[in-house]
Amino acid sequence: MIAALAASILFATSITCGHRAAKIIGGASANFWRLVIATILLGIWSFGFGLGLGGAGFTFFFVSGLLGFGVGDVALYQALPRLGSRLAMLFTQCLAAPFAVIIERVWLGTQLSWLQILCISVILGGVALAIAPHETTKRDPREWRIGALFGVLSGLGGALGAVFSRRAFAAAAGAHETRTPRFNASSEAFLWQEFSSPSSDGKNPAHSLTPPVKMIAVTMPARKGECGCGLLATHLPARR
Amino acid sequence: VWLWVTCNALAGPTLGVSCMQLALRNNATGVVLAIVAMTPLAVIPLARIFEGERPTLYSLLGSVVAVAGAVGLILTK
Repeated sequence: MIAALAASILFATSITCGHRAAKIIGGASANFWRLVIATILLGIWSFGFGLGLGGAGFTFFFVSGLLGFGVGDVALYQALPRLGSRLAMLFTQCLAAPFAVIIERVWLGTQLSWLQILCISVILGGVALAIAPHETTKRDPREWRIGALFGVLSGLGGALGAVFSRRAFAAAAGAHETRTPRFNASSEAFLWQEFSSPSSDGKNPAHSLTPPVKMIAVTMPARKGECGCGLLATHLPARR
Repeated sequence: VWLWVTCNALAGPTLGVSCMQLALRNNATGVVLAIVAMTPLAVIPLARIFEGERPTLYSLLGSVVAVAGAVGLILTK
């Protein structure tokens, strides 16, 4: 739990630093260099001190990256210009957790208590209250429906990615591996392509966002964190 | 600029993702994702400090509610 809180604070720090860097050298460049540095650091860590690419959980981690990042983030970037930054973020942030609860319950059999579900609902309610747009914006109903669909898909992708990570840990544990950093560079290049590519109207959607949502979107993969980043440095069990 | 880029890389995809994975290793996905969903709220004080951005009443209220939920989640464990 503390690790999750730390992740949240670290992502927020990353977003703030990313926003600063993006102001100076532009969002795409800042994101590119961020990924280069992160890839080098994680590469050194995982190949130097861990198993590198491979291990029992590798396939699941790889799929996790593809789903969380390939599906989740791509869908989010489709939702952004249609729904606006706040509403798109709201869909992604507030749907991923409930989807994950259901998927993990069905697939891995993890049962949460009613009290935990209540607390999760309170958290998501608070997040929704904080980031929901409070002004009414007239939108094309068709565009809104498509955007909402992508928003749901984004939440689903994020949830699936995270649950696949959980499954990867189970696979690694089943293979009797002990804690070792593992590297899964599933789609850093994809991330770069995604973030730097213009939207359908020729603009990068990140350029039209409002802070702090803009700050979040500038470093979206970091916000997604779980597997959306596609670059997973994990404390996986290493072979005894 | 390299300081910001390096801090961004370190805090997000390196340490942030590592913490997230560590959390996923030991906790249910729904619980972890709910806490990580609070990231936009954690940005608020940082945005105030570094960008001078004033938080809205809704964002403050939402933060209080979300933090209460997170405390509850920790206490239920």
